[in-house]
Amino acid sequence: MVEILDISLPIISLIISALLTIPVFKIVRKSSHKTALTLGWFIVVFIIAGATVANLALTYYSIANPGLLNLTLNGGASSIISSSFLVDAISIYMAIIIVAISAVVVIYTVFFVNSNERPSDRYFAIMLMLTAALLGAVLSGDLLTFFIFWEAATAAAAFLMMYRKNAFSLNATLKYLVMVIIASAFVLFGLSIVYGITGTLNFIALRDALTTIAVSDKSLLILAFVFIAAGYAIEAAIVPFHFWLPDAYTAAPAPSSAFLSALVDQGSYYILIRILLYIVIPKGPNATLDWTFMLAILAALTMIAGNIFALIQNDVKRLIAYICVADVGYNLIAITSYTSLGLIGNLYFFLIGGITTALAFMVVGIINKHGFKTLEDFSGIGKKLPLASLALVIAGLSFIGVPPLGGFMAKYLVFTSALQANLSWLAVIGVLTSVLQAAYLFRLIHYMYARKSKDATVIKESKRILIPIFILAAALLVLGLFPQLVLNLLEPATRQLQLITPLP
Amino acid sequence: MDFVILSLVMLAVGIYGLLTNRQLLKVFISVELIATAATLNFVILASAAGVGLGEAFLILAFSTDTAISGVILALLVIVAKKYGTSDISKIVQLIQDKDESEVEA
Amino acid sequence: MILEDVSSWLVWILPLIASLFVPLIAKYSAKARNYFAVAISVITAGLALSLVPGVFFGSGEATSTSVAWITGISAGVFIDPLSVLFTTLVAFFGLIIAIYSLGYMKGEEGLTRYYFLLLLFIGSMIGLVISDNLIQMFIFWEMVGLCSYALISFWYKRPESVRAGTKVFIMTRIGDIALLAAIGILFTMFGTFSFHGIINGIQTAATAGTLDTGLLVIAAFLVLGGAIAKSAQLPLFTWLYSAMEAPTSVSALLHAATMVKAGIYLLARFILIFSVAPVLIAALQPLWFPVVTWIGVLTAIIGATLALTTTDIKGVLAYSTISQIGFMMAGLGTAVEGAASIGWFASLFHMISHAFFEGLGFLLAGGIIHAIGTRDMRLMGGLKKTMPISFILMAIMIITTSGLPPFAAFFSKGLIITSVTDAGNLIQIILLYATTAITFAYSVRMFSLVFMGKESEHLKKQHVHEAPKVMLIPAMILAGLCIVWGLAEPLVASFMHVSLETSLLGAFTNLETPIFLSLLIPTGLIAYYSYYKNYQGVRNIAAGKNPLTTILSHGYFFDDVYGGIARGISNVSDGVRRFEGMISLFPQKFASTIIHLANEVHVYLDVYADKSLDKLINVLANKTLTGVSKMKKAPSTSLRNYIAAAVLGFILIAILIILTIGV
Repeated sequence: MVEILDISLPIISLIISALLTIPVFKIVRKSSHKTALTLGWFIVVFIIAGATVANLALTYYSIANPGLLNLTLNGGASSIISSSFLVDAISIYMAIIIVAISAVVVIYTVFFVNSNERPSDRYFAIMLMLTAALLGAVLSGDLLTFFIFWEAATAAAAFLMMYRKNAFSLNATLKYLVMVIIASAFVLFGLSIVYGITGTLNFIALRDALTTIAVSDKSLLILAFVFIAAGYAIEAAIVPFHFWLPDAYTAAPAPSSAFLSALVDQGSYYILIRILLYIVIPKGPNATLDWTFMLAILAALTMIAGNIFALIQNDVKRLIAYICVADVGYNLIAITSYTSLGLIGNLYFFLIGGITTALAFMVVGIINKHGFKTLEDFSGIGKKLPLASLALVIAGLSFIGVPPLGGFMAKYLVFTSALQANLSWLAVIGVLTSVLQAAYLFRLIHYMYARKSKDATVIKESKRILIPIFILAAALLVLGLFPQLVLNLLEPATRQLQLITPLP
Repeated sequence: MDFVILSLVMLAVGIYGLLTNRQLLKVFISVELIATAATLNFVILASAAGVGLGEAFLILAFSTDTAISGVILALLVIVAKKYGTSDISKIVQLIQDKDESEVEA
Repeated sequence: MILEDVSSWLVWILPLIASLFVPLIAKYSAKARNYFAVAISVITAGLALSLVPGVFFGSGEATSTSVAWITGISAGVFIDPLSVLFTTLVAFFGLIIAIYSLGYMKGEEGLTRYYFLLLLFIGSMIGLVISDNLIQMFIFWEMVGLCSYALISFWYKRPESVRAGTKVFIMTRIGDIALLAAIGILFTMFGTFSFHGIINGIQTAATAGTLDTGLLVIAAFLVLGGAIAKSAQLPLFTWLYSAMEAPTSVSALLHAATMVKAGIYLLARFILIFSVAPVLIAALQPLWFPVVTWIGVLTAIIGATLALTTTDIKGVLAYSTISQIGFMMAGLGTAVEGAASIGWFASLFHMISHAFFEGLGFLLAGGIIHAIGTRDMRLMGGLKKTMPISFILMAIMIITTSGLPPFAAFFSKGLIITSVTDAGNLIQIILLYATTAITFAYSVRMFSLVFMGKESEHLKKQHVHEAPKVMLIPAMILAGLCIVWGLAEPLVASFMHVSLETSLLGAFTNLETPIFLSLLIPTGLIAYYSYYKNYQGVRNIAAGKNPLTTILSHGYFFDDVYGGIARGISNVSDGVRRFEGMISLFPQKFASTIIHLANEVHVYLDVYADKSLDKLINVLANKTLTGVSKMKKAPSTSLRNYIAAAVLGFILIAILIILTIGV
């Protein structure tokens, strides 16, 4: 049986390690092997966190036929201020992704950030805190708990963005925060209405309550849905709510961008999945509210606008940021299709999209460090920094969806699900925008390899920092070749969804 | 139910404020208005239903809201220190000017 | 009785509300504002005094009145000897400080803010001690923290002040979280926040035999955590020294009556609550009470020794407070029988005597700093001639602080030592005696450095004058109280409704006094000679390299211990480094293969893709989309556009949904 302790252990262990990071760094700074010691410390931290998550997964899968487990801190007088956690295949999958990607990015950061710098200990601590908050968010069992963990995550994300404290990043962080508080105010207002109608915020109880909702409350429900959807659309950077994302990711230091794009973005899709697939059922006998058309339009807008804006960018980091926006669109197709294939495709896309954007930001971070920012600067990078460039090429090819990289499989699943759901027009837009993606990414590759660089300076490539990068690149290749590794893990998730609502 | 009307009015004022204000601090206040309207809603509906969850939510939502507001205000303080003025509109203008020059350079 | 009901509410509501009027009145006249604050303090003190007879002649039982606030939580007042004792002390000190501020803060900028916060501070502290439930208490607890933060960084243009204020705020927050957790546990167990409810809950559960003492012990430790942070005890005591950046009047209030005393109140209150169930006390006895005593004893001696080395006159007083509060904690740690224990009463009695002598110390230090403009004692000296009244008052202060008979602290400290002696841990007893000796030494040292000897070069340059009357009169009142307070011991005991086994005279004749004096006189002489007579022998010990000075100058070796740990780890890391070398070899081999591959790709692109692709994209991007190119600048600069876009998107979502399903 899964206990509340099993769920809270990963979160608590990460929070404790975050708190310990600062004293540990005090000691580390006094020694002469700073990098090795920091690396050792974070490996220990993530081994512990990984063990706790593994414990959760194993406990969960040891149950005969695991379904959605709703855990409440019930009992006695505390029940009125209790909140709850939910464990199912999706949340466990998300938890594993979060810890794994976070580990790789943190190790990259160890090499990227000078650990002698004063605030670097806080930077690492906040990274761990953010991971803990995201774990809490994906494991939470009601909208209230999710909301609280999510707020914590956004606050931490803001600190990661403004690490450099220059005008550029301060401005971007301010914009991000203002958008985020607007989003949370919207969500809060929506939640208050939902709570008023149904008297609960628990995922499962809420779904049951909504299937039997009175007709007179329907318009209130629509109002609440619009508020919540708009709120989380801001967080997930769906066009036209996306404007903060390119600014923020461009201004943040590379590890932050990698971290935010790979993890915080995924967290916001996660809540969309939870709300849209599990609570507000669009079709079938238990239908509550049909949102598919709305989401299809938003998905199309997001893909088109994201890719076009990416096309006209001159700054490579900003270009990658716009690809993040476009990726949201592809994810939305999967949700819109409302099929079990779509769910699988979506969850698979989470992982691949997260790895690819993280990889791209990490490489661009290294190249930016040498002062190359725009497309013209990237001329001839392929010769100057051969290894880093290779990794960027892998990321780019995965973005486009070239087999056998992971991106191909992800896009294949997503588009097939759209066809299954009779949304072929959406699939066509998706394919066309992918062509557009190929155009600008090949241009980037062209600049990197075919153009002569302006100066002939020789750069010595740091090797250690490439280890985490090539771990991710290898993961892309392996997952592209053997998608069953992940898809098997996801199989129970679709079975659970079938139990709630029969999908085509 | 009078309070529901109050909360709707607060929501309307908040959204109006979001759209019409240039100054960051006023935008911030508008957002706080919306959040307060939401918490007010919670309390009213909870007291109508006679369950304690609404009040629990109130406390939690207040604290999380406050945390984020704290981050924003801290950021404003950093900006104010860095740019030597506490006038929000001026700061944003300053940053933007500097921003554009950085982008162009 | 009606008068008491009214005044028990007014005594904390009045200053809170009046504080809001300070800015209004300040618009008309600055003078009116200052006297308004004093008048409110006078009324508050009067209201607090009016509560005294009821408790003094009453039965000692707690009474409380409350009104519903939000569902499940009420607002109320809790009247018992403990809360009235604190209320009276805070109100009295508020009055003293308000009067003193008239002189000390004269001509400062931002006085409206000062008086506003001062009244708010007083109101919050009274609210804290008089609350009848944990939530209300916690709110005031936070308000006290907030006010002290704002007052400590009152001179906000000085970076040190702001830094100190922030430090105080953050360090005390640690305790606040612990306290909040304790409140959560208690609420979970008993379903109520009110003191009466919790006491009843404990009693019922104890008689039914269902009391979960394990959880309550955890709650007790969390409460202790809250008290440690607020009262500046080990290991969270450093903030109090930083808080010296505050105006001296604020420091006096902070040390004597508010903020640091909140922790003592909290512990005293919870010991009362816990003592209703013997089974609970039995659960607390093996660990919790000893921990309280040990924290107290260790803080007392560490605070006292640090006071020996600092050169900041307010620093000496700050460390002295830390040390004296350690005494109170030690006393509370022996109070295993609740109010019936001598330790409980001793701590509270000492708390008040400490308020008098420490307050006096700060008022005098304020006058000195006011007069000569520095806090560094090395720049002072020979003030005996120029500030004679301060000299006499300071003499009274140091005699009281040191616990010399027959002044206040002699009785109160004696009681604490008696209670710890009764508890019977030899090490604790020895440490406490040592602390009293060191207390005398640092008091004499401060006294000699400031008032004795020759005038320093610094002082010769300026015209030093005695502090103004408005600052001296409050100090004189406190000095008077220092002298006579000890004699009030039986009165206070009957006010608190506790019975003392010892009489006043007994304090002189019991075993402690000879030990006390035999310790004090030699240390006092050493201190006197080393700092006043410049006795070279003692100076050599103090200046030379010997164990004592090494320990103190290294701040108890905290840093050195950290360094040792770091060295140990760096030895381990040598091994790690070799491993690191191994992994860095791997990419190099990997790299050579990859570079080869990349070159192949490069050749391919060079031949086939160069011209055609680049041209196509450039045409697409730069020529066809020039309109969009212009767009990319606009949205990246204006936050307002973002918000407008978000609201548009909101409307879009609404329209799309309505299109799909209709309303």
